Parts: sequence; C-alpha cells; structure tokens
Amino acid sequence: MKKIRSLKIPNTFDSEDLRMRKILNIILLALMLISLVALASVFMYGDSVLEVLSSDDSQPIFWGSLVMVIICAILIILNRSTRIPKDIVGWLLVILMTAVVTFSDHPAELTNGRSLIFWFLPILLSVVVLPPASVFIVDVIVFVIITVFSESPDSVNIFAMFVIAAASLLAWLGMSIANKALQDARNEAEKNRAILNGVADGVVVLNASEQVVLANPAALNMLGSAIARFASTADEDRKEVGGRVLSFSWSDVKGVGNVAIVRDISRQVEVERAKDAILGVVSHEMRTPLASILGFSEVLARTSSSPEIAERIHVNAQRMIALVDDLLDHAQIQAGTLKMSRERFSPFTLAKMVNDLLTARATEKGVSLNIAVSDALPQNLMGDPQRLQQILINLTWNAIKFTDRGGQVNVLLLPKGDNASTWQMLVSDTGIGIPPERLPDIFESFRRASDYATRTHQGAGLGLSIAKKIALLMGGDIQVTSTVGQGSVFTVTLPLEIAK
Amino acid sequence: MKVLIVEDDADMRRLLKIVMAGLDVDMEEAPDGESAIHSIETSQEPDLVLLDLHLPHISGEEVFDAIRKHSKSAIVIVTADILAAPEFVSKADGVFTKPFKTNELIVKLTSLLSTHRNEAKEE
Repeated sequence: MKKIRSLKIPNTFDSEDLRMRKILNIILLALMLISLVALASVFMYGDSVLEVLSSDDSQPIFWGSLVMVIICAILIILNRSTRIPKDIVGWLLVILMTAVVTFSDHPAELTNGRSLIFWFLPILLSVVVLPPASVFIVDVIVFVIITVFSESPDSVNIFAMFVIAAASLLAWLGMSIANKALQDARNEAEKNRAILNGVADGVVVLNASEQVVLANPAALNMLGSAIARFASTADEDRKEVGGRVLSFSWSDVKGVGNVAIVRDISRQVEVERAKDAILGVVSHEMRTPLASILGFSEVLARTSSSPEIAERIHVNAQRMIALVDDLLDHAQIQAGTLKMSRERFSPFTLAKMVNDLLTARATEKGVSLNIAVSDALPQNLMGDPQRLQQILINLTWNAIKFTDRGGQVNVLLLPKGDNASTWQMLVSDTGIGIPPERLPDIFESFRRASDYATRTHQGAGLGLSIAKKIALLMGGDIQVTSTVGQGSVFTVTLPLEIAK
Repeated sequence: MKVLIVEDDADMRRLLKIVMAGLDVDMEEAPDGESAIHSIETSQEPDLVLLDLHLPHISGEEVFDAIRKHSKSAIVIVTADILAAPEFVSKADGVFTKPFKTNELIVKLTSLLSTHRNEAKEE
C-alpha cells in the first residue's frame, strides 16, 4: 500500500528556490574542495605546521585556504536552512569571491595588469547565483575597488571596465532569456499537472515493462489498491473494481508509454440496466392485457353475431403487440443485448413462412406477392431463422404497403454469384418509390409518420431500422435502390454458411 | 382429466377457461405459486398444468421444478416473458408466449391430453 500512496504525478521541475540552492551548494562544495587542495599543497613544501607558518611564502596561502574552507562550510550550512533566504547566501558567496580576488594579487596587477581578468569571477558568479540584474551591482562594487586600488586617478583602466560592463550586459541578457524559458516550461508543466490533478478521468501511464509510472489522483481514487495490478488489465476495456464499473481506453504515446484513460461508468451502466429492466417490465405488463384482448377477441369472432367487430379489435391489438415487440427489439439492439441464435434452417421454409404470413394481407390490398428461392442456394444454412424471418417480413410488408392495387412484390432468395460466400434476399416492388433525398435515412429509427418508411409497423418507423440492424449484427447489410414512380429494391446480403 | 391453471392475471385465467371449455376437462385455478404447489401436493394430481412464469412470491421457475418433482403432469408454459421463454422449450411439454393463438393452444393441449390419457391407460 505504501508503494501505491507514493505514486503521484512526479513534479519534474524543482522550485526556483530549490534550484538555486542546489547550484549554490555545488559551487560552495567546489570552492571548498579547491581550498582543501590548496591547503594540502602547502604541506608539500614544509614538514610541519610550524614550518609552514614560519615561511613567508606558505603562510598567506595556509591562512587564506583555511579561512576559505571554514567560510564555505558555514555557507553550506546556511544554504541548507530554508529560513535563510537563498539570496543572502548568494550575496555572501559573491562578496567572498570578490574579497578573494581583491587579495589575490598585488593591487597594481589587479587594477591594471595580469590579474584584471579575475574580476570576471565574482561578476559571472553573481549572474548564476543571484537574480541576473544583480550583476550590475557587482559591477559597481568591482569598479569602486579597481578605482580605489589604482595608484592614481589617471591609471584607472577605463577600457577594462568597459569590457567588464559589456560582458556583464551579455551575461545578464543570456541569463534572463534562459530564466524566462525555464519559467515558461515550469508554468506549462504546472498547468499540465493541474489539469491531470483536476480531471475527473483517471490517467495511468505504464512504461515498457508494464510498471505504473504515473497515476493521477482520479485514477488512484477509482482504482485504489487495484492499481498495483493495473498492467493485467492492459487488454481490457471494461472492468469492475470495488463495485464500480470502469472503462479503459488505451493509447500508445511515443516517448511516454502506454497511456490509459480510466472512466467511472458505473452510473451509465446502472442507467442502462435500469432501462433494460424497465423495458422488460413494460413489455411484459403490456403483453399480458393485450394477450387477454387478443384471446377474447378471437373467442368473440367465433361466437359473436358481429365477428367483424371482434376482428377489428383483434387487428388493432395485434398492431400494439407488434409495436411492443419492435420497441423491445429496438431497445435490445441499442443495449447490445439482442441474442442471436445459430441453428440449421431451410431458406425454402423461411420463404414459405413469410409467404403464409403475408399472402392474405397482400391479396387484401390487391397486390400480387411472389416469393421464390433459387435452386442454386444450398438447402440448409446456418443462422437465426426467427430473425431472418423478421427481416424478410419487415421488408416485404413494407413493400406491400407502399405498392398500389394491381402492383407486384417479388421476393427472391439466392446466392450472390458463383462460389458465393454470401447470399441475398431481394425484395422488389412496383410501388411509389423513394425520393433520392429520403434514401440515406430510411433505415433511421423513429422517422416521422409522413416519411416514406414509417408506416412499416403502423407508425413506429422501426421496421426497416430493426431489419437493417439485425442484418448488420449477422455480419450482413441491407441496401436499397429506388426510382420514384417505378418502385424499390431492397437487397439483404448475408454471410453464407452451409449447414453440415 | 384435470388441468391446473397457474396464472396471476384473473382475466387471463378466465380466457384460458373459456378457450378450454370444449376440451371436457376439470379445471382448477391457482393465482400464485403457493396455491399451485399446495394444490399439486394435496388434491388429485393434474394431467396438465398451464403455468405462467411471472408469479407473485414464488416464481414460475420454482413452481415448475416443484411440479416436476412431485408429479408426472404435463407442463405447458404460457408466459409474456419472451426473453425467459426460450430456455423452457427443451424442459416443458409446450411453450406459448402471450399473445398466443387460441386455436394453436387448443391443438397443443388436445394432443398432450390424449397422449397423457393413453399413457394412463397403458399403466
């Protein structure tokens, strides 16, 4: 668990304060090391401390180095305390460096000779460890020292001062630009981090060896301890974790790793389930009284003195049942829960069933219905005969409805070409046809009643939409071509699987 | 011959009785699972049970198992639950989803009852 808690979005940038303190630390340690080396070198010429201290050459180096070591040590300690502002330590270091340079050589050499170049040390140091503009203050200090140490006002090396000033300006400019770039990058990272911390979606990054290298608070909150086993879900897109349903979407981001967006879809799943449950209940609750109406009307049609009234009750109740069935199918298709059977069936029987069910209705409307099965089609296929029948009934009934008296509806079941891997059900009519602008959306659910395809199931506009969706679920499709005034052809194409 | 109608909807029970009026059978009604099981256990064993699946308290599935355990009655499922119906196709002697065609139900019941009658005679 400890390991998991430590998993946070890494802050790839130090704060400005920490960055400066680190630089100061490195410089101080380096200075201390140099001083220690100088101190040690003194003893290479003398045998004992006393000898060193009595030598005119070694004595200043010994004391100078010793003082440097001590001061550096003090500054390192000061630098560690966050209570002491980093700029104080920075200034102390720059002053120390200035003092070292000031006493490093004879005044004449420092003001107008070989050691002039040493003045660059405190100046460049100040650019690095202090706010860049401080370099100009250090310039002034250096100029004052040079002027004071010069033998006479005439011997002040104005030219050297000019070069130092120009170098300071360049250093300041360069450092300002670098600092600005760093600040921009830091702001950007901070922004991204804030976004990652704030988003409701979880973000988890796996590296090449499938270890979690990054997880935002939302991901930790959703996954909890399961995040340790997160890599095992790398090929899943949905999982239940601690009573919550989470969805994952994975993407391989170059240079980052395998990035998963984790989303809590519990509520959505709950709503989906509730919707299905409600639909099941509604379907059941409507079916029971409708069954009674249908049953009683059947009895009434046989026994009553006005059977045609009973017949109308029956027909209308049937329309309602068809509507309930369509709504249930539609909802199941939407929810992805429509079950498809896979069994042996005969295309001929399928055609006969549709023929038996629709011939009477076609005759009633004065439309001639011809259903034929090609000899080239295998006698037995595999599939869901109930659903195929549903497709064929929906299309054929649709064709009958939009064909005027005296017209024709032809249904043909045939393999698609030789050596076919698909077979087709063609439903053609001599009906009113579909205007081209209507064609793209006749398979949409719930078209308005004034639209072409809607009257399929007495108004719901679901017949064609359901047929198309079932065909798609079967790995097939339905296409339509039509000429206004001449008729339409619906072509159902399905994968052909011969029953053994 | 005796038929037990297990159905919580009173109108549906009435319809089933009217439809079966010509079959020359004794009809007993049970509006829920408890009374159905009670009836099976205490009175004369029915030759055929018409069973709804959605029943208050005890589900039709449980009643189905109880009948199968206690009697040799033929069971015909009559349900509005078109999703649950398919799983009974292999288990029950007949499955009808509501709405059913009354004449189809009569044909099925007649055939089941005559088979049952013949079996009873043989025994």
